[in-house]
Amino acid sequence: MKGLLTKDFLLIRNQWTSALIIVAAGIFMAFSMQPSACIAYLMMIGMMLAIGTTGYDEFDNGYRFLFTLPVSRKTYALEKYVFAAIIILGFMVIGVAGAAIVTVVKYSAAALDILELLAEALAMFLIVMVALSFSLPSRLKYGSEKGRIALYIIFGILTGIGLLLGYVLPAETVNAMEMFVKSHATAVIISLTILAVAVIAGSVIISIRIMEKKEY
Amino acid sequence: MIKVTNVRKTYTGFELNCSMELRKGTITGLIGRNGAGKSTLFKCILQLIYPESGEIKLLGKDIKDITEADRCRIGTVMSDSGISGYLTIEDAEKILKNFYPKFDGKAYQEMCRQAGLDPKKKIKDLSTGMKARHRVICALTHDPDLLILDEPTSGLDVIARNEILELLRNYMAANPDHAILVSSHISSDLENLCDDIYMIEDGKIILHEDADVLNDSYAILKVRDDEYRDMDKSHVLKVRKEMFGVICLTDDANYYRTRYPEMIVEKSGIDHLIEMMIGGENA
Repeated sequence: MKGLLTKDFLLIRNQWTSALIIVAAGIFMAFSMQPSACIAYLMMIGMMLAIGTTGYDEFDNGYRFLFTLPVSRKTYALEKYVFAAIIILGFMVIGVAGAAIVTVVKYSAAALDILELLAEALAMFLIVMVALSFSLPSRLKYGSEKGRIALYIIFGILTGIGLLLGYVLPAETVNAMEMFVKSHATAVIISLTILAVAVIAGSVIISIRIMEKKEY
Repeated sequence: MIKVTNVRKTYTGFELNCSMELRKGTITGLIGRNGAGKSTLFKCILQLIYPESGEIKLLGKDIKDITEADRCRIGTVMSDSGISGYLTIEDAEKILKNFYPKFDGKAYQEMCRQAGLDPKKKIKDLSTGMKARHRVICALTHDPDLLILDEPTSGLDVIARNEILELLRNYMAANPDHAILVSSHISSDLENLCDDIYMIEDGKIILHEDADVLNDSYAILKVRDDEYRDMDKSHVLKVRKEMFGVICLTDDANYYRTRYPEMIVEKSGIDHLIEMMIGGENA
């Protein structure tokens, strides 16, 4: 896995100018909106950068060479999640630091609650990893171009389900759910974390199967 | 080192169905036209594609049991693929160092220097010849026991081809108990390099012979129609009608030289051999 991680870090290094612009845009966003908004933004960008390395692997029959190296398809799929997690965490740290600085500059030092910021960032990390769990298998299965279309369809369906539920569910039910979440906050957080981890684990298994079946 | 037994893989309009063996200490060549099945067979051996039936043994193991450690013992060149073009020669070294425990950075740098490869240059910006040389260097510098090279000289001029062939000869000279499986559609590349030659056509092995036997015993007989009618055809493999009469491919040149001293017996060469094996008719 070390070789694959080295490859991906070297590939992503080529995009450092884009990354600087992205970080600058994130800081600007933090100033003009909620300071913490830049954390989610930067983490999503980190996820996309990490997923983008599959495009480099695919380019010019790259997979054909990669799988002649001492690396199994399983390791390849696993490495993509590990690499993405490292990049997303890296962008999270930048985001948290940026949000903290913007809070102090824009408001005051007293307005900064670093623990709350970190908790928010960790929750966002899980959400972004879940988003990755939907994106990566489709990219691995269908490649860069078709994978992007498949991703739009998946997120379109998920958004549709969300909107439909909001439309169908009576206001009392929604209120009752909100009350339940507030009164059982810890249990809800633990349950959602377990659910997120399960989704990620499921996605890893699916990605491994996709890679093992593919022919190059 | 490699044993392929009745491996079958089908695509629309094409079927690979063949067996072959690569022994320790030998350079085995796989020769055939473009689309004959060379790359398909290589991909089966390297598990890039999965055969529908048959058995492949690599380094004495069934390919399904090959581990990442076993793969460290193999150096590979695929003609149309290599390390990402967005990386530099220097980056490739860092990557290979992290893949192969026995990777020799000094040898890599020295071979790249000799080949005139600029460490800072991106692979996509290299010429075709430079890219091919770099692929071979990548395959050689982790002390592999086995080299599997699919068309390593494809698209190169004669000088670049000879430089690559020289790298391979040096590798075998330094490691006489290792082995190379190499494919090409350029017969002269394999003619002077290999110990053993397989010829593939339409997914099937149509000829397997020791390179020395090919050189010494195989020949082209040029005969008139009446000579052809009366001659002993027991060692004629293929025949083709020509303006002057018939040309025959034989696997026993001496037999005809001794028995018919007047007959024109010419050394066949692999190109002619392929031409006859593919285009000729049975005697």
